[in-house]
Amino acid sequence: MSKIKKFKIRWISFKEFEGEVIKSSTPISFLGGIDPKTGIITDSTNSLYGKSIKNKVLLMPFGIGSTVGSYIIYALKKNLTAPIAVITYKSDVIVPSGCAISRIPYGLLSYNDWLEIEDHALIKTEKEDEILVSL
Amino acid sequence: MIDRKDLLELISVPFKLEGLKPRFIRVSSAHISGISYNNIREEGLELLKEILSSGLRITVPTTINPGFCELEEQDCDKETYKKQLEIIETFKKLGAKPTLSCIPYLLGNIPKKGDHIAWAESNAVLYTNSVIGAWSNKESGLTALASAILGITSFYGVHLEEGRVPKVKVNFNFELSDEVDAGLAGFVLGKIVKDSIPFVSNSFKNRYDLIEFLASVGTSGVIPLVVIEGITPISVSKDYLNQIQSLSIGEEEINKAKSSLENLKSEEDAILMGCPHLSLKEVEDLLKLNRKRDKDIFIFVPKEVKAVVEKKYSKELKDKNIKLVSDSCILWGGIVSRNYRKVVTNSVKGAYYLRNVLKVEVGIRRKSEIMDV
Repeated sequence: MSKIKKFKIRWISFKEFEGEVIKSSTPISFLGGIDPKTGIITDSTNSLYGKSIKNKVLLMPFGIGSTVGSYIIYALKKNLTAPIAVITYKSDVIVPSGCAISRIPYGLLSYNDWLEIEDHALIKTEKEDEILVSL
Repeated sequence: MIDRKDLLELISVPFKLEGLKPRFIRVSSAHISGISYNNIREEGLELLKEILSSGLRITVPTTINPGFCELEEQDCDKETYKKQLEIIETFKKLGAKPTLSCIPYLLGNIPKKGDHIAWAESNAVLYTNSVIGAWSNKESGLTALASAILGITSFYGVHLEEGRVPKVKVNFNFELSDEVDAGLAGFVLGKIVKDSIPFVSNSFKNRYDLIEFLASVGTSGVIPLVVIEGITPISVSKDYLNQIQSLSIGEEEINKAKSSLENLKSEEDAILMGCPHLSLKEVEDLLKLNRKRDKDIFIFVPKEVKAVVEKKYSKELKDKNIKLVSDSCILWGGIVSRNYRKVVTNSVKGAYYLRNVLKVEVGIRRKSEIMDV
């Protein structure tokens, strides 16, 4: 039986959602790292190589690479290949901006909480500053 | 569909990440980067068109950075040219002035001391803060466009008086003898000060060297302002300067930076100057000199400068085989279409991006190595 735990979180573009986690242990560059047409991770050095982030809650450390990554996030949204939400433990200049303009909830967690959440976990928003996670 | 609320959410990001209530301030101008099709690509163009079709329009005087091609010459491949034109047309329809220049502070969009502005393009942000004393954080192309439409920006960073106080003093232990020394010093400084606003003495021989210095700070660092003694309109007491941390940059550091930026293994295909764009005065100074190297020289300038120089100095340009390129950044489609693989430049910022974005071999050469000074 899975355990449910509450985590404090800070949001950009908050809205309620529920979804399954896809977790990348390494930072992602949206430009060159994800195909905006399919939502598939194209960076061969990433642990999620070949997997799709479409309709998943993307958990990653933070964004890296070109600031054009913000435009890629918008393209994902427009192509209906975007994640439901993106959650990181560190902010950067690319991902929060891209999510803000694309109305994709972007959450900032503490590093220890981020570590506790595993691939395939289920996440549900509780209050605006809280999520419920099945561990 | 993108609405004003989305743009407001975008410029609120710095506050929301800290869990704070957003605060804003009115801006008197904006300058937008991310104009080159080579940079923003199809996805960027699509987003701009979406903003346009959502009915949003720019409400403050706004200029834009250079693109990837010279428009009259159509010097990049047809498809890229078409897309570049579409980006510029979209910005025009949004209400921006199509200056296609990265030196709005000298031409086209000159702010006044004390103005609050929302500018992208790091060299322009560093110049306006450090020299003019009009305040802008280092915006992205997107946040600058959002502010151009909303007429406001997030009230934090250098918009606040306490955000403009230097926290570290940086000494140069050698003479900044030319634009390359100044550029390399800026490149090293940008890295070592991290996010602390630095104080430096005025060690620059002329405005050109100062611009190259600031452009390099913007390339390697995150800070939007360098407080320069006697130039920046911010007063700092001697007592205060004696209390803060002090760092030094020596010749060894800048030589190391130079060799880490260069990867040219043989003779160059072309010489590129004008990153940031050169102004009329700097081009006139160059044209007085004889050239030393027997390669094509391309100088990147705003179109107003090109028009004046081509009219006034057509003989010199022809005799010296110097070509002026307008509308384009030094990251220029013409390098690709001419199949140049090896270039030299006197700009440290230019060298960094030519190597990392266009993937060409780059050498840094001083103006005195290119022209007979």
